[in-house]
Amino acid sequence: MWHATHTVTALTLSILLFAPTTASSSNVDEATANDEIGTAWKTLESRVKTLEKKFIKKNSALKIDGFLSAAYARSDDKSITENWGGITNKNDFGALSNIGIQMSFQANTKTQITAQLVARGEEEWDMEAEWAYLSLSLSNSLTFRFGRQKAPLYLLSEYIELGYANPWVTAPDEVYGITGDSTYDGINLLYTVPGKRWDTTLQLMWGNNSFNNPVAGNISLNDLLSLSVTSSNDSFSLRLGYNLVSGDIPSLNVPLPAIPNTPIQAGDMLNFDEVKAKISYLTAGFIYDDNSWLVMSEYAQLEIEGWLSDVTGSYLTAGYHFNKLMPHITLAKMKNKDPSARNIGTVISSSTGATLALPGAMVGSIADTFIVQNQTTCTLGLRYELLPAVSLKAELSHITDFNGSNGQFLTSSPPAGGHVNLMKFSIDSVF
Amino acid sequence: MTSVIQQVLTKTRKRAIKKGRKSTLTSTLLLILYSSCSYAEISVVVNKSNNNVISTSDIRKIFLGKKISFADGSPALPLIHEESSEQARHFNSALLKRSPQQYKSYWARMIFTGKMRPPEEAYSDEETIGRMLTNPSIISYIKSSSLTNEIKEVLRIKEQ
Repeated sequence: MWHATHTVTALTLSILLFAPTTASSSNVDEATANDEIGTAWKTLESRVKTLEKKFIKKNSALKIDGFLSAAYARSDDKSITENWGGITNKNDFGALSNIGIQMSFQANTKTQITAQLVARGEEEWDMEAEWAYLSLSLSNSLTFRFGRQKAPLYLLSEYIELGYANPWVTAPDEVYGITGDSTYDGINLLYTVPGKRWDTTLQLMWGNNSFNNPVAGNISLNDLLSLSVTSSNDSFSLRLGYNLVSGDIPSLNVPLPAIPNTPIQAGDMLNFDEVKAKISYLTAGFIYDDNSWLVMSEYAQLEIEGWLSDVTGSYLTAGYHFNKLMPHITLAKMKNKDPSARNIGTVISSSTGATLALPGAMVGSIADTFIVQNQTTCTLGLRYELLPAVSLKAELSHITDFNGSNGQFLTSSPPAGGHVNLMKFSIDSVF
Repeated sequence: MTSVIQQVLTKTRKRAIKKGRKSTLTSTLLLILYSSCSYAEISVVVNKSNNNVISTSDIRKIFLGKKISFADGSPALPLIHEESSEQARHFNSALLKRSPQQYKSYWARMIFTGKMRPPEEAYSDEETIGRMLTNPSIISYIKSSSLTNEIKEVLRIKEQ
């Protein structure tokens, strides 16, 4: 196993591949009079509000909804940056925070136009359209959607950013970090089969996604075919999904440090071959939530041709509702499966410009420093319902089992000490 | 249930008086607590012309947007009360088996994945009855004490 020894632009392939985004008294009489005025005012105010509400509800086809997560995060490791939110050893209030505004317009009984704009602290609060589509109800059980929407890659993909609806501050990276963002432009068919106890929904999506990655350039994911089946009753939801997409990642160069016992000098470039590959992911999961227990689990398996690494990820979460308080625990694991010997690319000498004659296995294992992500996370969390639409969350995560990889961290060598702790807090709201 | 709470109230008040503290705040807090877990009877109601057999499971599905018609095929239009109202809190917990947060989360997921929106809200039992008289598709719930003989009760949720 080879490790790059000085800081290079660390590339973690899942980011590269899928995420465009790597990285809140005077006297008594007077008082009585004031009280009366106050009461009268309140009565008047509540009447006006009622009228306003009635007017708006009954007459407007345009609905506006929103959500907000204000978060704080920090890690205990000074030398590395966490992949998804960019969490570091510094106090960070932006990394995991986001705000979403959704506008939906009911054009007629069958047609609806929806746009959801999301801004994330991590992206300097730039507004982005996550959803922008037209939906047609073809029948009571069949809905057709055209436009930008989130592909249902996993159990929670469609509302992963809606902090209020999820138990954690952030969903387990071991599963949700495999593919990152799931916004695609395309078409979606939703078919619901009602049952006596179990309702089943079939979802078929076809679409494309392309984005610019600061390191890898323009990455396109074409012809996504996503099929999922979800069956749910009052407290149970079971889901199985299969997704197939063609990835196109341009070839890229990564500078290497000098590596002892090899001809590799500092500044030599590792040239990753261009990848035009079929990527498939199989996902399965369930949520059980009655008024006392919350148990949920997911498994995801990504297979990809070319130099990228096959990945499996899974998590299990269990929580218990003590009225407004829910303590929960999550165990999550991700593992890469490929042998290093696969054909990855070449190393080009910076001094001569020539390709170094190196065994494929050696290039593979150097490249793995940038590609492979192994890690296990144990998270203890607490969620408290502060108000009917506002919750508070706190989490501590202990991440280990890197197995020589960098896990989901931006670093040139595995985290020192073999473990990293993360602390996260958030206030989540819907409005 | 009631007697236990009253005992606690009396005991706490006595203790507070003993300690020479103002008892008003404590008892007010306890009263809020007390009132939050005591609900009057609720009646699920439909228009008098509605002769469908409507099971508890049907009601649950209709109010969660999973069922949009009655057994005879006619449209079912749920009408709810504001989430913080006594009627809604009792109905959501006893019939939908959802805490206020779980109820809110459910609809948030439906809204932000573009699937559906929560039912329309009425602002009083009187408004509910009034709207039900003009629209035979409406199914709603009111305090049983507000029942009139112009509408039909299909299910009663016991006081809690």
